[in-house]
Amino acid sequence: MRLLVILNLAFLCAFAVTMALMILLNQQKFGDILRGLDDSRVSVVTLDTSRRLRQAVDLGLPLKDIAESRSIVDALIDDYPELQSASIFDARGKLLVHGGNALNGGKAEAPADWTDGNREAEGEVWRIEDPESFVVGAPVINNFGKLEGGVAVRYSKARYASIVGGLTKELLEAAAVIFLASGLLAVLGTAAALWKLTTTARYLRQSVENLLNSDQEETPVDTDLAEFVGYSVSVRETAAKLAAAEASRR
Amino acid sequence: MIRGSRRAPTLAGLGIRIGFVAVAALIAANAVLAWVALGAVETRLEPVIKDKANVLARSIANDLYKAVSLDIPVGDLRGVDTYLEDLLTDHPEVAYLAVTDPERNVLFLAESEDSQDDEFQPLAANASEAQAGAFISFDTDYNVTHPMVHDGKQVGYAMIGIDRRFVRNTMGGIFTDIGISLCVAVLIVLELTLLVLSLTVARSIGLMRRLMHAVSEGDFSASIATRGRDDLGRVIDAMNGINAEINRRFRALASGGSAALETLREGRVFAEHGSYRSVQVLRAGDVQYPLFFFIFGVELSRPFFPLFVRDLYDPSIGIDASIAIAMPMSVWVVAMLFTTPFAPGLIRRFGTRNTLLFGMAPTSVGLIATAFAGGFIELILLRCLTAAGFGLVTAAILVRLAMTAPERRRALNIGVFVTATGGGSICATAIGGILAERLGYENTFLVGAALVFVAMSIAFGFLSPDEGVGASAGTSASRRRRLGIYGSPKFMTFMALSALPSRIVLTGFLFFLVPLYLDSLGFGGAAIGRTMMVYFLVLLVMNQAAAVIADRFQNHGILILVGGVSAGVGCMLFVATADSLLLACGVALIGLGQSFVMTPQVAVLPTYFRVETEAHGTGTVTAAFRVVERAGSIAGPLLAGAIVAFAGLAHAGTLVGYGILATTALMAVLLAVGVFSRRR
Repeated sequence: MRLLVILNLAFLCAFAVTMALMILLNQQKFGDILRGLDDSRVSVVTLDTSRRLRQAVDLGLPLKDIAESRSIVDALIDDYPELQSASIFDARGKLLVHGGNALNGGKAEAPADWTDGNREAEGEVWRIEDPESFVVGAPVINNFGKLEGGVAVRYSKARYASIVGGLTKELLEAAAVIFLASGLLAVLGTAAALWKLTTTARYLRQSVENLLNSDQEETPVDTDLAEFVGYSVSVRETAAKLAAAEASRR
Repeated sequence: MIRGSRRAPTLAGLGIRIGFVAVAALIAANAVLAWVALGAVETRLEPVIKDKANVLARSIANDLYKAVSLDIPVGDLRGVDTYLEDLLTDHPEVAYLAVTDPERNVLFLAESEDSQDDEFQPLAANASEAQAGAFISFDTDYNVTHPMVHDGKQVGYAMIGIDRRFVRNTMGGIFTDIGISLCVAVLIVLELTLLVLSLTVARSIGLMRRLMHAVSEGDFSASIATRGRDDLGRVIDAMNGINAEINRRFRALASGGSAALETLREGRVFAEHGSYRSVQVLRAGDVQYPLFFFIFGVELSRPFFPLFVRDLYDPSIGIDASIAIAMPMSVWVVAMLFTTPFAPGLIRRFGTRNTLLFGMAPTSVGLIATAFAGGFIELILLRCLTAAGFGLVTAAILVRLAMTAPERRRALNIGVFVTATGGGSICATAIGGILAERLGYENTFLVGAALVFVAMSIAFGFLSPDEGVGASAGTSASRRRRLGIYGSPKFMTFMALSALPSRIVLTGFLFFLVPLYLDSLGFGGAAIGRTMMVYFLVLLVMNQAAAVIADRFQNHGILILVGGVSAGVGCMLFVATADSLLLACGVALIGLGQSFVMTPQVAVLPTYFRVETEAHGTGTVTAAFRVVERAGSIAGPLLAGAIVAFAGLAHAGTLVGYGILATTALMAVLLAVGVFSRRR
């Protein structure tokens, strides 16, 4: 019984660790794919918006004078409810148009890391994270190569965390059931494998206990423990001599 | 009366049956979990993919709308194919992008290579099913269509197909990691099975046999200390009971002054004063299991350690980066050197179990503290602490193995050490890389510390506290005589031509150069771990084979030469390629070389250096070998770092390879002229 418990405790620990690792790997890979798809989707939206604004600045208009900026931002917020906010800002970081949740406690300036990212992006999409959101932005550059400003959208980390959390919960529930089933299988299988050893040990113990019992005349032979034959002969002989000595003393 | 015979299951058979059950349950459980996970991931990603496809379709429609708004027919536009091809490149999940006319005749099309291979026909038969913004699955794709409207009239459609295999293929990227994790888990389960069976069943049966043998020889003065109440423990209790009863009756007769006492004493030994001699079974395998988990924990950082040091490297200390990265690895060996000589004395005084615990405790503390190391100097100090314990543990186990092994089985017995360290290292490098990539370097150190705690628990729970107390590691020698071994030119030549190069390959090339070189090729932590794992895998498989060959044919010298050539060629192959398979082959050759060298190197010590062994003792010669060998381990990373600073990563590898081949050639000459010989 003790052997069965020790073995299966060890097995169950190994099962639990492996399954935890499996869940961790799946969760992280899923998170990577989800993040990649979300990021790619928002990047398409941001680049589209940046291109639309560029068409206007290519005509020579400064970014702050583009009349359709407000409608572009409002359309973004309406069409993509998962976006927390959409912002258009000039090259110095002044917010020109903003839609969705307030930014920076309602300040009129875009965060410094947005303008830094926008400046260093060289026409490509830039990405940063803040504690609550993922931010994707794209610069707006006119046809003379001048940086006019940028567009940035924020989408919530909460949605990402909720989807990944849902997967983790589902996997944990499945793992608990599978762990119980596999644990039961291991316990039953191990018990079956140990059954013969257990019965042999009981039989051997009974044989040993009977060695000093004078009613038992024959000693069973255990073929795997050849030493038992010499052992039992020695015990019986010594016991007989002791008995003879005890009888002579009486 | 009890009749008949009963055959107890053999230990090997029992191990196979139990191991099979456990491994089958483990694999089945993880296979089911992987299947559930894949389904759950696909279900959750489907709406995300749909949103992405819609956004992309709308984006294409918007881009084309500018031309459409100028009344240019969609079919007359130039460059749309290139535009679609560019989009396809940017979005790997997309199987095809198409622009059609209002009748859904394809005007422009870009397909992924996979789709072309499948003779893919975009929307051929089912295009009419694709409604605006609708998400339709047919063939192997999710399909989305978005209408282009001008002045209330449909002028065409933008259509997108997302490859349904994308999720499966992308998730497939973790199947290698899962497979490796599962292999490691299988190895651990088998180790656990053997551990428990060895330390319970095999030990109990061994003790029973010892006691039966003693009694059959007439010795009733022995007894077995039992722990736990299992079935075999009850058999031992019964046997102890028999001895106790016989001794009680003998002592009763003795106290009465029976004349038959002398007859009884003939050929028999009794515990006449009531104290019993304890029966012990010392087996090499007893220390294998704590060592396995100990090495597993410590080596977990192996695939990323140089990269971890590189992150903490501070240029203000004024040392070249390559040499600075090598320093903690060399310092590690220096700290090991300080504690190694204490192992025999500590075993004699406190026993094997306590010596192991003395070593494991600072190691685990060091690993925990390393996880929180904030600077380069701090890291160096913490590595000293960790290595001090590591040195004590490995030296204690080696000394114990050397003390208990008969000469002709010495290589096989030392093989227990190499097998445990090899098994632990395989698991560590494979899992360490994965954990580092997923959990970060710091958390991986903490996992390592937890594994060292497991090793401590096994050592504490299963090893006898007084085992090894008072034992001698061969001839007792004074300090002067112990140091005298280092003055033997023959011994030091052997060290310089075989032991030192093999350690330089291990620490300078494998542990230092390989992670940095793979990182420079763009390999991630898991991939570095997988590649390094090949070394330990080959070592584990080939080590026992080399030990058996060495013991059977007594051809240690030839094995050492073959090993040197293999390691040298492996180093040169590794840095000559960027191909994953060839890189693994290079590492495998190094592993093959080391497996041929490591066990015979230790095994030949008493025969090649018979005079020195008789003068200084087996323990002293073995300890001296380890000390000099570790000097090679110190030099290895520093030497490699210096060569890297001078010649770059690839050339450094080639130079190390040439160096190994040169020392092997010199060794061959000395063996040929009989400087090292088995003859007295």
